[in-house]
Amino acid sequence: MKNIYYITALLILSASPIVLAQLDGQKFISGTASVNFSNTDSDLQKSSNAYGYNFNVGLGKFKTNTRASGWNLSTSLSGSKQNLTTYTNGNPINKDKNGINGFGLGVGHFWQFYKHFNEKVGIYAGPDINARYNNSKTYEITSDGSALVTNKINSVTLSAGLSAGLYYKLSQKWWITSSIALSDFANINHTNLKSNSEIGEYTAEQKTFNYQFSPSFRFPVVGFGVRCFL
Amino acid sequence: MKKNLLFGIVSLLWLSVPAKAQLQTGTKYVAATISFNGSHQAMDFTPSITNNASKFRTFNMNPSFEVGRFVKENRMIGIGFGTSMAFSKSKSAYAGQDFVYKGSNIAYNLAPYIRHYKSLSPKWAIFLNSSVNLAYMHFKNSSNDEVKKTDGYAAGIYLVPGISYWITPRFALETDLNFLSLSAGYNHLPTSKNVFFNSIVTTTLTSYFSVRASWYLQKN
Repeated sequence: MKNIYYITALLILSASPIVLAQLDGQKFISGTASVNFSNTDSDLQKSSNAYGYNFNVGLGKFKTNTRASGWNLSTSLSGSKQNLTTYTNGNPINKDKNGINGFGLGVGHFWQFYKHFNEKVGIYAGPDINARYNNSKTYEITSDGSALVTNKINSVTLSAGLSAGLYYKLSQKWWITSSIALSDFANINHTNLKSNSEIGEYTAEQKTFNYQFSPSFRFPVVGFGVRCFL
Repeated sequence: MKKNLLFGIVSLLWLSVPAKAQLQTGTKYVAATISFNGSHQAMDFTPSITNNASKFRTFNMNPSFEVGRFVKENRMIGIGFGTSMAFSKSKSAYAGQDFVYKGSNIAYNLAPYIRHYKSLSPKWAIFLNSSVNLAYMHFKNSSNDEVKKTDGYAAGIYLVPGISYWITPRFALETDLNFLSLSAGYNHLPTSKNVFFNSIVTTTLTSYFSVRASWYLQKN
């Protein structure tokens, strides 16, 4: 008879969801930060350099134990010091171009739905929407070497996607996350490129509008991240 | 006695995989997917010495539709229709003269198939799709007003596995696992004829998978 109670208890236990630490109301932060700088010293030319940063911050909050949503913010900046040489009647003319030549800003919103397997491990998946603006300025010399051309690019992208990942709880405060699959099923992009030649006031303007809808996903996607609970 | 009964129930619950209702004889199957992309580009030059404004436009669309019926438990016979369209148009001017190019490539696919399912859990199933693909291609392009039309056709046999996930008992999302496939066929194009045989078995998993929406309609 005791056995029956024992088995019944086992059955109830195996059927009931595992009791987990409460997550609702908890806030978390994740992100990437990169800074770069490089310098080139050439024997024949003046030194040139390039620098920039890229910050990406995700801020989220658990609305319930299995549902979270939040914002993604990203910003990037790049600059350089370049030496460019043009030739007029065989005479070289040096031109220095210094300063900021690229800038990007992005904002996105994400929703994540969780399935907690046990106290430590679980998976999550959900949609996200993103908007991004990029601006850059590049210089080039025409093929005959006679003129300097400035290209200015402005680009706006709106996209919607889905992503899925896996988490492992190191402690209450720190989680390790890994992406599993990604889908970028819809996006639209507008790019405006303006080329300006210093000689002859010559300009070319190119406007491109791209759109795409594709219900497909990429699997597996390997990328690790760390998440900190506030 | 009670103990035996209980053990019996437990073993029944745990060991028997219930036959999935969606994969029974008579269930009708409908699936569809679509993908498209396009690009519009305009170029302007100032001052317009040699080049004038040019415009370039492309549009690609790939809709497909499938219907099927289960003839036996876990076995379905179906047919797939698909078209693959690519349109492009460019307009440019050079030295005061206009050039217009228009191209349209359309491929029509017809693929009767047999599909075997294996249910993994109430929500997941894997399948193996054996199909005969027949395609008719129509190419049309015109530069200024000179029109050129050509045709081509292709036939092939494909063996592709796939996976289904049921969101509701009637609605599922499916994808073909194209990292593992077997195909053979013949292409007859205006400028080339070729016979191909492909077997893809790769351990490199990263790949794009196209997703299909599918409905399993049971008669009541």
